[in-house]
Amino acid sequence: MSGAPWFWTVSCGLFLLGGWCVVRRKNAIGILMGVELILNAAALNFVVAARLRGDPVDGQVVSIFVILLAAAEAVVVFAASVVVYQLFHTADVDAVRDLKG
Amino acid sequence: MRPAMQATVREFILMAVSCVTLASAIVVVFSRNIVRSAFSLFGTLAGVAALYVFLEAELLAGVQVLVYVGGIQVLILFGVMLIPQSYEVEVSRPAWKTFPAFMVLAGLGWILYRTVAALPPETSWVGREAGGMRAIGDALLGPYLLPFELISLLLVGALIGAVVWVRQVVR
Repeated sequence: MSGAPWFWTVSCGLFLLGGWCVVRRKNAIGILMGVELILNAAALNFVVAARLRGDPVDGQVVSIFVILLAAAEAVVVFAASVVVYQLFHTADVDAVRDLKG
Repeated sequence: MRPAMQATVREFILMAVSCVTLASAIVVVFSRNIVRSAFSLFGTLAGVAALYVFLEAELLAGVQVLVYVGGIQVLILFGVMLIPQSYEVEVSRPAWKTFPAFMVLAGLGWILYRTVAALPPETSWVGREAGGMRAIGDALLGPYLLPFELISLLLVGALIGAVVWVRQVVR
């Protein structure tokens, strides 16, 4: 039970929950949380698959890259939501309709 | 401890960690309070770090705790606290509006479930070696040197870009 299928089940769950979070949330920060869940599921999958392949280093390196890219993405989303708040005075992504604030 | 009992204890802890991970992810997605979501994300990220330990990827567990729990999570909390209306936004869309997306996600979940269920159940890596920290360090400074350096450039670029962007608007 503690083999690859279990970890894949967990990462499927994380991925679907993250996708639902992205679809359902109206708040920019809430959407960011969903994206983080999806990225976590993907990184977990890389580690499991590489472990199965018998050469675990590649998968772990890719997972490290995924985590670092997620950091860059979080910084940009954070800056974007601060800017959107300054321009529109809301964190609701549905209220942001103009291209030129 | 006997090996059999040790394996049972290990499985039990793995189950508990997975349940905590998924349960806090559920709170992240379905909580009506965005602050509660943000704090619940701690549980998910720490749970994934623990899963990395079970996969014998200790370096990755450390990176997960440092970057995610220490960096991204704090950034998200800052975001929630700094944007004053972020907990006044009605957090979620009504269910009927997201029904098509729900159907797509349900179909995707069904495909994923079938894929995982179709795997041979004994798919296991017992006896396979786990890559140690030294091997990962060698890989990062060997075949992966270029992407490694590019990522550091990307991080600096994202940081400077974010600061410049926010300063421009705030002025």
